[in-house]
Amino acid sequence: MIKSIVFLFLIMNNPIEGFLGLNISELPYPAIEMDSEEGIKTYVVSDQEMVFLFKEVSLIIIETDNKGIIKSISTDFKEIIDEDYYKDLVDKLGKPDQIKKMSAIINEDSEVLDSGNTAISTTGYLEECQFVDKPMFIKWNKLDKDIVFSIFHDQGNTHLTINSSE
Amino acid sequence: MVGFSKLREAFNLEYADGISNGIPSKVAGVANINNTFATGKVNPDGSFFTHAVELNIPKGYFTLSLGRTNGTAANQTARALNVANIRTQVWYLQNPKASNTALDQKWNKNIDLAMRIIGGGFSQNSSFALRSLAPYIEEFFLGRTYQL
Repeated sequence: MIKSIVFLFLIMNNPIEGFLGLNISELPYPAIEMDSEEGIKTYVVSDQEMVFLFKEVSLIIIETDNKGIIKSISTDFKEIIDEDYYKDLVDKLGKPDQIKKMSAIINEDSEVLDSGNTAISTTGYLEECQFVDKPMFIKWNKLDKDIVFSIFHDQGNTHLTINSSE
Repeated sequence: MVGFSKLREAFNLEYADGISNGIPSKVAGVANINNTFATGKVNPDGSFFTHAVELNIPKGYFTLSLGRTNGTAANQTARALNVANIRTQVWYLQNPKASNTALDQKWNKNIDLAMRIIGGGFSQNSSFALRSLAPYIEEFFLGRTYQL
């Protein structure tokens, strides 16, 4: 019961998009520093009950500037977001600024990299589409935030990045 | 000799007690670590296009410090890979001019970093040469100029 109340409080008061602009020291969860590069620090927050617009997430990656201000938050959903959730997003954020699918393949290539790893790459044109057309990217720019979904239909995964666009 | 497991079965990743750099450790090998990353770009003529790359690491070796069960080690490794995949995807959105080689380097580095924060590491045989870049294009998703 208490746990449910706490979770409800977090849903209402600690959506991950609200972390943008905070100092990392103000984050209500423990964050582990992963890397520091050119003034940008990366942190991992895991095993926490967090939310992004009513969808639960347990792991986020945070980037801060050299003053510790949170500039970017990323996660993934381990599923393709469905149309009901997309409608919830539109209700909350309005129509996306961009929603794009691959319309035509320009080039496909396969190579063995110097590391010995292989890369199979596909380059293709993007065109505006509807959600039912299985978009690869959906982007909102709202209130100085870029909210970008990258949808990997073949992998059954949706990646989310919320980025300060200031 | 450590057996290889498939990444898709990461929770069944088979760790064993072994020696890494002379230190008793949990060790495991994984075959065909695979993930797809995608970025968006815009041409000078205003047309949008995407570059999606499926990377495959034929063999990867994970190490973790002792003091945890093999099952815990496997779960922690799966989560570390998740961290690395998320971080690499956001980096690719921010750096859409990156070559496949640069993306591969970043992914490998991120796997190692994600393992290090849980007291482990990741390695494979690799070199770090960069291939030439494509003609100038501008990014449109999370623009950040990437200079090689």
